[in-house]
Amino acid sequence: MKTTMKWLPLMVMALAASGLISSFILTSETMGLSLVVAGVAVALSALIRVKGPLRQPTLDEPPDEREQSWSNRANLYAFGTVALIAMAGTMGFAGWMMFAGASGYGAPFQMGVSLFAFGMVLFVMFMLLPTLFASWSMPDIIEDESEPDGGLRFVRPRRR
Amino acid sequence: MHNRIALFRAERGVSRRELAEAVGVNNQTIGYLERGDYKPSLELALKIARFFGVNVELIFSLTPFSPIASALKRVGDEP
Repeated sequence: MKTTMKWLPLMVMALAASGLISSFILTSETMGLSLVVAGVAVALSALIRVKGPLRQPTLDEPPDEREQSWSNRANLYAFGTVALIAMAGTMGFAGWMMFAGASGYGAPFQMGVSLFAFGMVLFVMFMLLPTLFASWSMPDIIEDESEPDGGLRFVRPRRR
Repeated sequence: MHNRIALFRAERGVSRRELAEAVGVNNQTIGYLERGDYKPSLELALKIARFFGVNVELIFSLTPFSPIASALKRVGDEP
């Protein structure tokens, strides 16, 4: 049974964001820690996506029309949000590079690490926003009293 | 959209899983349909109506269905 996850994706996104923020603060010797933190968030995001309320379709078990509809809505919401943040981040990094070129503040190594961490944050959001959307907006599953297991076990639909 | 899937299912003694397998959807989708949390496609509505052997208008409606008690009373009052 797929579970709803209303808070866990938010916590993992916060973890990824803390990795990005720390890349601006830490020195070049400790900056690798930022990527480790963001990397942990990336790994957790993949796990949460699989365990989340949106079932991952396979060739043997394709989604039915309701699952497809929810998946489409959740992914559309996620794509829009990630695209906006990516645009804002691109402009931010471009501005930082221009500022660094003029003032000498910000080493290219630090920019590279921060940019890498930003890419990880985008990946985490891409993975988790659909799960978050579905967790908050999908109605709870009700049990089927006529089934011994409550009808909550996934049953592969017949192909027609 | 309103529907009488739960009523037909109860009357025929069909579980959600049996109906879901017959119309080719996940069994949880039937639960969402019954609760009105999901609007079916025309294809799914027609498949459900065919499964119960009735016209689609008897199961799905854009307006709320009248309660069974009042429908029975109406039939009983007819001369």
